[in-house]
Amino acid sequence: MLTPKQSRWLRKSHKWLTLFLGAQLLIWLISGLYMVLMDIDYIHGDHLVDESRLTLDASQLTISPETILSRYPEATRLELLPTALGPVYKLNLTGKPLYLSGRDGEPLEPLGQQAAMKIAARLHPGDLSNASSELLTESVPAEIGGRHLPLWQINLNDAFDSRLYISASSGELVTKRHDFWRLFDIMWMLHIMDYDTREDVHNPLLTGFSLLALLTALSGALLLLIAFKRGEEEPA
Amino acid sequence: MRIGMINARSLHRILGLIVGAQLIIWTLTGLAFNLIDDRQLDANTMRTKPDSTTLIKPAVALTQIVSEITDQQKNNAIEQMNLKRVELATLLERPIYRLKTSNGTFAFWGDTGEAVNLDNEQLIRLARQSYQGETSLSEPILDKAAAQRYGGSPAFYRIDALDEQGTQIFIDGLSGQVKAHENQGSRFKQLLFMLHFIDYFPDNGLSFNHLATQLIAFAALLLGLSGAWVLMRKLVAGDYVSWGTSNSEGQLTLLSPDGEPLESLILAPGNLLDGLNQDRSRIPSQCGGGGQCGMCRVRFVEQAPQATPEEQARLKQEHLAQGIRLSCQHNCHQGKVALTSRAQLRFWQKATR
Repeated sequence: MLTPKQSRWLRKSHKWLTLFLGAQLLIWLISGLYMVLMDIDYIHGDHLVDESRLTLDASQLTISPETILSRYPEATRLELLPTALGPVYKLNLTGKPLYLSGRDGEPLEPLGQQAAMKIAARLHPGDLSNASSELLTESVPAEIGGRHLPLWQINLNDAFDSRLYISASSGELVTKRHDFWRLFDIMWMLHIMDYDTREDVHNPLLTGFSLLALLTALSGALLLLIAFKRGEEEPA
Repeated sequence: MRIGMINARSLHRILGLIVGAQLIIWTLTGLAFNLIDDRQLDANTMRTKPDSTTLIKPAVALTQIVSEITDQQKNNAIEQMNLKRVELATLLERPIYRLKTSNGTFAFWGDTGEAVNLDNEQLIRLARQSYQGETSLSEPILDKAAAQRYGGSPAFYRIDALDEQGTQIFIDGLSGQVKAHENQGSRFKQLLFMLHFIDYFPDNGLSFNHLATQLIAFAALLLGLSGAWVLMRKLVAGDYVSWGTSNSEGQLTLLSPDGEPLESLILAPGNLLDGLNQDRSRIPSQCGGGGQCGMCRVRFVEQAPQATPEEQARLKQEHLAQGIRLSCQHNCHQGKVALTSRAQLRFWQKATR
């Protein structure tokens, strides 16, 4: 059991640690709760698209993989993908992907606006009458960092500012975003305390705060040893 | 309001009992993720991707294979199968088709059209290709638990490398894919995630979206909020810094239970209990100033301060009326306070002898 001196020291440590750390402790608890409460598939925007609508129809395939391969013998990998505009071949040629139409084997033309909207309509289960689109060629929005341009950004203009991103070179769905994803991203940033890249969990700020948080939790746990203890009743 | 306040502190203690251990686990595992180099927790540092060689032209056409599976599915009266994606790749120097369908992934050799079903020798060769180390590899072992974990087919194999890291290579014999490498580091990472996410039965991969985690995270937030409430109350009460009333001047006089002067003490910053015990332990306390044990009670001879919620809960109404308070709950001020019992007096006598 703790001596009075030890318990006094523990109580002071807990009191000052929580004053210093309090805000971050609450941020960890709130961001953690948000992340465990929100279904991760919903956060990923799986409700925004129904990819089961996209299937390959072998009968639509008027040009065979063998023919494609004899035209591009240097290919290291060949894939056949379904898009809303029909099957597409994706070839790996010395690291760079090449997209060919599955109908005629010709390289795909960059996707136009109407085609992009047609793809979005095929993927999205809901109504698209409010949607607008924008071709991104210059800079990648921060919310889809690391993706390859050019991309069609389809703004659904719904209550959660949902967007679909469709590759203008292949017609493939690249990703989707909405406000709950954006909030999740902010919560993650706050949780790992990396306010720049939002991905470095090894930052020294987090080390310092985590060490102090450990001391806070340990001092709190030790205080529990005496928390429910009462002194003997004595007449005043 | 008062009831609310005392409840915040009691709630904080009760919630501490419930989620305290998990809070320590969260901070420890969080620290581990923060401090341990990613490469230490990753089995793929010993993994090699096969060289990208140019594709070998298949002898069997894709249409032939598609119609073959469709027939097969029809015979088994399985619902209509949708083709999701086709890949032509090279496996063990042979062309291979992989067909991703709504009913799973099927693989066929492009040279013979036969369904892929790797034998032990092929599995070992594939594992060897995928692994940088030189140590010998075990025979392939069917692993059903791993098949579930990685969403593999019934022919899902594990091959153990006899290295220091305990590397295990997982291969799906029907798709011909190396699904994963695991070693001590990656298993430790798995354990850390399990602890951090409170997911001890990760049948289909780890998840943080389940009820146990959600309830504990909610209780933990309540713990945090009740703690914040107590902290704010202490701040306002001047428990951290006493604003306004300067008490740097003056003396505190300690009296016996009968009112005889015992000692005069120079005022110290902080609470009255600390002020009384500034150089030696004159008044005993069990809980170290939490307002819980009730042992540090004194009687304010002049104007007694307003009772805190802790005192309302701990002290009898008649005692409160006599000016008895818990010395840990009030700031050290100029004035006179008296001990409240013979036992306290004996303790003081021992301390000052």
